[in-house]
Amino acid sequence: MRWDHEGHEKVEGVLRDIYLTTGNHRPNSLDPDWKANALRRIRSLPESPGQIPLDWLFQHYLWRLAPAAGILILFLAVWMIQSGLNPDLEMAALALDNPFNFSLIETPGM
Amino acid sequence: MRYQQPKCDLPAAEIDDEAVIDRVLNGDTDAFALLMNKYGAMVVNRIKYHVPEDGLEETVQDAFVRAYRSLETCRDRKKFKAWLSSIAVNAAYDYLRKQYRRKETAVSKLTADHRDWLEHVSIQQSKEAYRRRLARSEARDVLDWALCQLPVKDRMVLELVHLQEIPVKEAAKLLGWSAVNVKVRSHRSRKKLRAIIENMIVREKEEP
Repeated sequence: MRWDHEGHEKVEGVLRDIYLTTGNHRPNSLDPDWKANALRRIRSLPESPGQIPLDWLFQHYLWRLAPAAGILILFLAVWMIQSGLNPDLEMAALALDNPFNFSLIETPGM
Repeated sequence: MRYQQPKCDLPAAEIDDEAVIDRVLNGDTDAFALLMNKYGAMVVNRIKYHVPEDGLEETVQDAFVRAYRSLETCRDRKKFKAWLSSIAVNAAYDYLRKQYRRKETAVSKLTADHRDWLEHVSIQQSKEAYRRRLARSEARDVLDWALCQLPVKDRMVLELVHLQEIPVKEAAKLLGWSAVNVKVRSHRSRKKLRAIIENMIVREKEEP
């Protein structure tokens, strides 16, 4: 049997009503000790709430650098493919204070 | 400074969120109980639709512990309730994720009774018949089974947008995702749910 649109709508409507009905029937209150238990867990935390958690910092700031890091990696990979891997020559060019032969500057055409 | 016992019997409306948050951030951990009293029922109400009864208390506690740990990051203290709602929804989401990882979600096999129930639901006409169908235990079994087939992200979005009928923008704020992401995912998850139910009928029919 392949259901038509109406059949799907009916089933979804019933499932939605079941979902809401069973959710509504669940009690809104918990065991009276739940607050005490939560406070106990809070008091046992090593850090105070004034310290911003590291995971929050990572989530909100560090991942925002991901596109820039991706572009940088791509650029460096292209440059490496074009110029080949000659770190000794690059270092020598830098040491001789001869930046015109330094391929990082040559690649973008500067 | 003298230690002050938090007045937990204060009416919820009289509790000033901003003042209490200041007290907590200044080291008065016990003052956090005031926020728990004020918003406990709201957090339970947010979580109880997503998490089974045996995991409800643990998840509510998790939500408040997270709120306490991240209190400094609540920039707009006037919107503390919305901020706490978002933490509650994310605590429920993480609970489901853990359950999925441990493969503890009950995926029971559906029987011919469930299939019959579904087929009749799709063609039922009268309100009386509808009420009878709704009261059947098969109804919740089918819903639980179908939800367990969905990836946890799809499940969360489906529950918020299609089952609880929360607007996309609000669901996006609760989940901390972009509105576009929620919109696309809600559309996909709805299609997946339809396919799951339809496949279930077809498979059950093919089985001897």
